[in-house]
Amino acid sequence: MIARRALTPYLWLAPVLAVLLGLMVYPWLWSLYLSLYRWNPLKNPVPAFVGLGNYLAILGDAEFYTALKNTVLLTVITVSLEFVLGFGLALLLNTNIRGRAFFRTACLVPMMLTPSIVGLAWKVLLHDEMGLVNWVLGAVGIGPQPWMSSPSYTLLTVSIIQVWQHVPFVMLIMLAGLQAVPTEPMEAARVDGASEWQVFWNVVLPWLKPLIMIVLMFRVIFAIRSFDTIFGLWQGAGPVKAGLVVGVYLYEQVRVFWELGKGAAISYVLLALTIAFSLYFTVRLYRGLEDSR
Amino acid sequence: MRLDRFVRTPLAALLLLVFALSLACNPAPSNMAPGAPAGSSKTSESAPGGEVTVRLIAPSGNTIKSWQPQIDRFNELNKGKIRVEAEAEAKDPLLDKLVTQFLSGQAAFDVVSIDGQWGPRLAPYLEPLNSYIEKDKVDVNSLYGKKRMDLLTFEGQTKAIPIGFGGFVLFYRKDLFDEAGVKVPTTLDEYLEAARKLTKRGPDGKVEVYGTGGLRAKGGYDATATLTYFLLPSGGRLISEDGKGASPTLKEPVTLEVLKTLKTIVDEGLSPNPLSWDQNNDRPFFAQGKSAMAIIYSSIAEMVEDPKESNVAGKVGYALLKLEKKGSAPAAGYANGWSMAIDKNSKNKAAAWEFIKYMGSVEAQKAMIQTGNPPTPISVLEDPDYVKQVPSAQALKEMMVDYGFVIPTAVTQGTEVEKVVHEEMQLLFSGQKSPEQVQQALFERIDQVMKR
Repeated sequence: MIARRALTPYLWLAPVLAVLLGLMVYPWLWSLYLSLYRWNPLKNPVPAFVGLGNYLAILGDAEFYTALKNTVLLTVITVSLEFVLGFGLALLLNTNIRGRAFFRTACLVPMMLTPSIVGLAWKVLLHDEMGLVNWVLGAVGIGPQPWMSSPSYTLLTVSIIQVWQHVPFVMLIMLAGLQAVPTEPMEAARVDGASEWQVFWNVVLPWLKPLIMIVLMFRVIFAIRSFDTIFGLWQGAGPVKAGLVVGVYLYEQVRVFWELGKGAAISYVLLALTIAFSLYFTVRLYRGLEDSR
Repeated sequence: MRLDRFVRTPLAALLLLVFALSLACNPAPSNMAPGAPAGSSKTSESAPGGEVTVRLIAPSGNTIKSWQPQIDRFNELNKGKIRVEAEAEAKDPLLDKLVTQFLSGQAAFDVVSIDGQWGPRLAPYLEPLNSYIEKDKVDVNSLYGKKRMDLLTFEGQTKAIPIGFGGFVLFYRKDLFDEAGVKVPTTLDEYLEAARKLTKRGPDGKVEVYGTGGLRAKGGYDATATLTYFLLPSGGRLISEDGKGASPTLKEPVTLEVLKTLKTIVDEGLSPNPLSWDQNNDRPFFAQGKSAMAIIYSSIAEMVEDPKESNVAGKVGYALLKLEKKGSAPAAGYANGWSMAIDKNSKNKAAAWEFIKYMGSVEAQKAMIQTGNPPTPISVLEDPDYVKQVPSAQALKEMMVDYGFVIPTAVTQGTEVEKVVHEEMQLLFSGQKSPEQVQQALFERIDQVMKR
């Protein structure tokens, strides 16, 4: 009777586990296996075992380092801006301004759009010759800008779009956090003569620290995996490969050159990068929680 | 009954078992196994009563629209014997589907559409058609031209039949040419001069009409097309005749002249910035009247002459761009198109062959002219009615029959060659490399790629 009771929950979980195993674990293992083979089906239908050869090829490829550099740069720029702007918006929307509910909803719209559609839509808006943005800039006397065709504008263009799309996420989380901050410590600080800035820095911010860590971690993880926006804009790495990030590098190896083994290896390199970055935040968060106990 | 008690009943255990069995028996998971064909888990099969179903995968957009009436006609003519079901897919996902299908060994589609550049890479997966051609005594070389059939023959085996094959020709505004006193260019210098005279700027200096469109370098395909539009007619090539290295013409002065001309066009603002330009921009741009000439795929003439879709209908001339030959290779135009082939794992090869044979026949090809398909039989290309009906027909006929044509990267390493051209052309247009440096890099890198 006791054994049956213990077993029953697992029986109910069995279908879900079967689906997870089939849809997640098996493909993971298969792609890890594939990463040990050199396989281009358009050149040779039979894969050839190369062991760590694909990983070494990636580490010896100058393009990989270009992609890595651009990925780190894009991550640092976009996550910083998203956090500053998102937190700022949250602070603003946490006050009793008129139309707060409307602005809160309106701010969420970019977040609801699919990244690849965002890329395609902005491609039309930012088109050098026929785009609305350059038309407006021309009308106000600034003049058209080479958003889509200049290598020096590429990361700027991608950053603007990604910040526009992901600021609402940061805003939403931080707003929820701000609304959960207890009022008593803030009032007590004010009674003691603290200025608003001191209240914010010494009371509100420490309270929000775990939430900030979580938001930054999520944004860093997704920023490292950037691909949709860049691909939506250029169907590739952008002018003179200025938009080459690890996600696009992976896509090119698999989809353009059909190097399936190398592509699988790149995906594991990307996984390692994501784990490395998120580990930092996870450790900080854990230590923060431990300290607060 | 409370939920926790229900969970422990034999009925719950039975439901769990049924659910687990239904998951195991569901065909959907096999589609997600590596190599399984996307979108379909069944192969073609014969319906009871003997009608064979042949499944075709075709490129979406104008191509399938131009083919569908003849697919329907074939089904009418073969009612009860063969039925063709067509599925359309955009070009890049089409290649994905084909490769997945070939690797899985399951012929979800019996008849597959092959782009001209894909032939060498997909040939090992296609059924040789020589025995079918011989049995039915179809003289494919006379019908389509030996040159075109050579592009579809690999190691002595014919693997596909050309169904829609066009060329890139010069679309030009007759009215603007007359106004500027410009003729169809016959040399690179004339092309540059024409672009200068045809470029119109407003009082604020902003370009209202570009002298030329067609310079594209957004993707590898675009950059390769842009370079070879001018290189091929000038007697240059990218790849050597034997396919074992880069073409020696890349080291000849003709290549440098082409690169310098293209760079000058971009530097003087005579064309839109090629770094963000592809053919999806170029065609509507010309149709809106924003460029005075452009090198465009011949069958796009239908769109350009449609007053509902184009501002320049009735004002466009079409010519084969024949430049002064300065290179050591024969002058040629850039051509490409779609062919049909049979998956070697198909269970309905005979029926598939009947369908392909019909679609490539003079009867079907003549009918498909009405729906915008560029015809492949030489006799149809030379038919005076065809030349009268289709505005770009004369230019296309001249390329296919008299002048000659090439698909520049129809080799196994085609994508790598396009990558090299893409990178070097972008460096040229962005000013990061000189034409001389690009010329040297093109030869060295393409040679490396071809020798791997």
